[in-house]
Amino acid sequence: MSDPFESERAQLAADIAALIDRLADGTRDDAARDALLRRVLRFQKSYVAPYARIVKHSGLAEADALRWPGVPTDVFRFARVAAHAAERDVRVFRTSGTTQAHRGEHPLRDLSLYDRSARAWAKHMLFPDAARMRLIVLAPSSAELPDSSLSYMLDRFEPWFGLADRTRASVRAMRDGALDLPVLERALREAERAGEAVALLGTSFAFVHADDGLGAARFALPPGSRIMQTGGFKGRSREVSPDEMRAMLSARYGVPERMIIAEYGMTELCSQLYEAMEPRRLLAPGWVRVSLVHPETLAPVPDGDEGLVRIDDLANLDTACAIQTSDRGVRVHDGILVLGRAAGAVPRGCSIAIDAALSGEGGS
Amino acid sequence: MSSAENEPIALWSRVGGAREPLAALSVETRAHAIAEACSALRRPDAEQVALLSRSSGLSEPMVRWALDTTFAAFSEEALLALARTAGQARARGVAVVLAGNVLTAAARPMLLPLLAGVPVVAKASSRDDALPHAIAAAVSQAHPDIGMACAAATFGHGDAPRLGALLSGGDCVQVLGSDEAVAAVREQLRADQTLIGRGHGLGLGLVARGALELSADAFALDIAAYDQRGCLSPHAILVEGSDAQAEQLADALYEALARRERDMPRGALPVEAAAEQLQWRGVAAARGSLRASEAFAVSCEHGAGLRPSPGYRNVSVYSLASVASLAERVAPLSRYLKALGVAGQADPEEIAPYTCPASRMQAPPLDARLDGLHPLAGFA
Repeated sequence: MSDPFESERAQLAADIAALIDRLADGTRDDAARDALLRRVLRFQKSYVAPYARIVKHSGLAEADALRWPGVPTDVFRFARVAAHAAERDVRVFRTSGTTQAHRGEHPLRDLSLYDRSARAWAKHMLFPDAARMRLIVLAPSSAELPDSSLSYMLDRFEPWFGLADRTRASVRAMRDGALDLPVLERALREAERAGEAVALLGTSFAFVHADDGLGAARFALPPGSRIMQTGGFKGRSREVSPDEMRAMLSARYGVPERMIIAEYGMTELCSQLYEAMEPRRLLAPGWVRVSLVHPETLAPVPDGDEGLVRIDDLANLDTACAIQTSDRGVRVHDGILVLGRAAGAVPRGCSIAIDAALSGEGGS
Repeated sequence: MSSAENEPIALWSRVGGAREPLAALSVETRAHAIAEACSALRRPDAEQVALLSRSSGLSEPMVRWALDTTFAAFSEEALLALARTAGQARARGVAVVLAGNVLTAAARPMLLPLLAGVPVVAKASSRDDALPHAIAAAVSQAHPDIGMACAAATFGHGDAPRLGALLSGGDCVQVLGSDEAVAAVREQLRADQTLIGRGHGLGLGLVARGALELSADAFALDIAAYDQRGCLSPHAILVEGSDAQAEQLADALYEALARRERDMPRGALPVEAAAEQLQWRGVAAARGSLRASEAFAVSCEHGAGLRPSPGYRNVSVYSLASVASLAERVAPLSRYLKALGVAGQADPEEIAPYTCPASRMQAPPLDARLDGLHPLAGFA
């Protein structure tokens, strides 16, 4: 006898996969996306207990599924958000634990939708013009950080976009949590000599460390080379604004600014957003709905107004599609500009912040 | 304000010149003048209330309540009684670094040194500086000689030269703010300077068995006061009894907060606080029960560890097996615990420097040992 949960899930997974395949080239079909999103949200309300409670608390009717509140990212720190039992997890991605006592957990029973989504949108936004190239990665491997979604994604990039040839295979310029500058410099010089484009992929703070460590060295990476930079600084390096970062990377590696692409990803998401220029904004794939909501009413804000970023990611089938972030953003053309994090920025004087109290990191 | 009136070096020069005249006054004269200034500060005109509301972000009724409650404690009798518990002045000047999260937090650090006969210069928060200046003006009005020994300056926290000048002028330095702010000041002090740091903190409430009915209104006041932005504000209420009794208090507290909202509305919610509130309420809804309105919320998260709230009138209620288990239950937060409000008959272990009846958490008496220190510690 078939299990109704498994049957429904299998059908939804197939429909999501088909939608990803259909929209992988950047075309949009928001009506189809929203119709599928409604089905997935109802499925998750039935099987993901914390989400069901959030929806119930909202008092919104079944017909209003697209208006149901998103799951705030903090919920992933304090409750298990999943439609399946923990023993079926094949991977648990966790938020970084630099300042928070409770790390957010995103438990997945199946990585196929993650892979499909990540590959399709990276192909469209990062590698539209090249099937494969040498990858130089400034981030730990998933062998080092098995619970990092970024490390997982960059590991997957190697078979998807990297070169298999042993002499031109991908290079990992980070080991044991530290940047391996000799390895990085050697790979960059090899690329210059070979005249073959490379993709330099890494975290923002790793690029800052590289910039600090490379001293006077400058590179002229071959035409077609590109840089993907992601994430904040989390106190792990000096802070650099997006414009400064772009200028710094361009000057250091000889890559035109239009080939420097920021990625926006979250542990709680299976899909990513990438930056496009003129005007600068982040673009989501067609199977992701990005909205900006008022922080108190959760109603969508008028175009041009600042709001908190909410992301509905269909690839999050087994956890929660609707994710409410604490990032401030504003709509720009067909994308969004993320303005920074709102939560945690409250000036509080002697009143203690939640994270500081829970982690015992109040200071002195 | 002229630039000289905002320059710590000039202010120290002025208050330093007033040191001997201040010390020459009897303690009775100083107490009388301070009480008179506080009496005036309790009765602000509409324009002052509007100004303080704008600078603090609190609603006008909240501002009135805060001024009335705070300055009522500074009666002549209470000031004299406090002065009698301390010895002679032993500091030549008190430098004060204020935070902007609690409107009336300037009162004690600015007025009590004067009671002890010690001049004071305070750095007001650049976000919320109206009251420190009003205090200095009220003292001048009540007694010009004492007013000469009291000054407030406004400058940003990144203004290192002015901060250095402010700190170097006092042999006692009081800092209100985050632990990081206290630590940053500590690094700048000379070995001969005394630091009184009042860093991060939070409060908790305790409802003893049998006191449910009395406690909701009392704790609603503690939560609503200063929009729960202070380090004495209760973030969670522990109910001795069952989960069902915790839910019962949560319901009653929600109703009581609604009544408070009518006569003492919450002020504006900054977007950063709204984002934290959204996250906090989401977790509460996802793993427990949540009663929420636009301006306040009460959660019950049974079986979960204590989770501080983002303030702004959001509070959790938990059950507690017995008062005897209180210390163990609050252990993860004990480092920051500054106040415990108690409803009903209970004799809890001393887990916070300031323990008081519910409804008094944000209105400590003048002799309360906040942070465990005598109110005149460091300068008398």
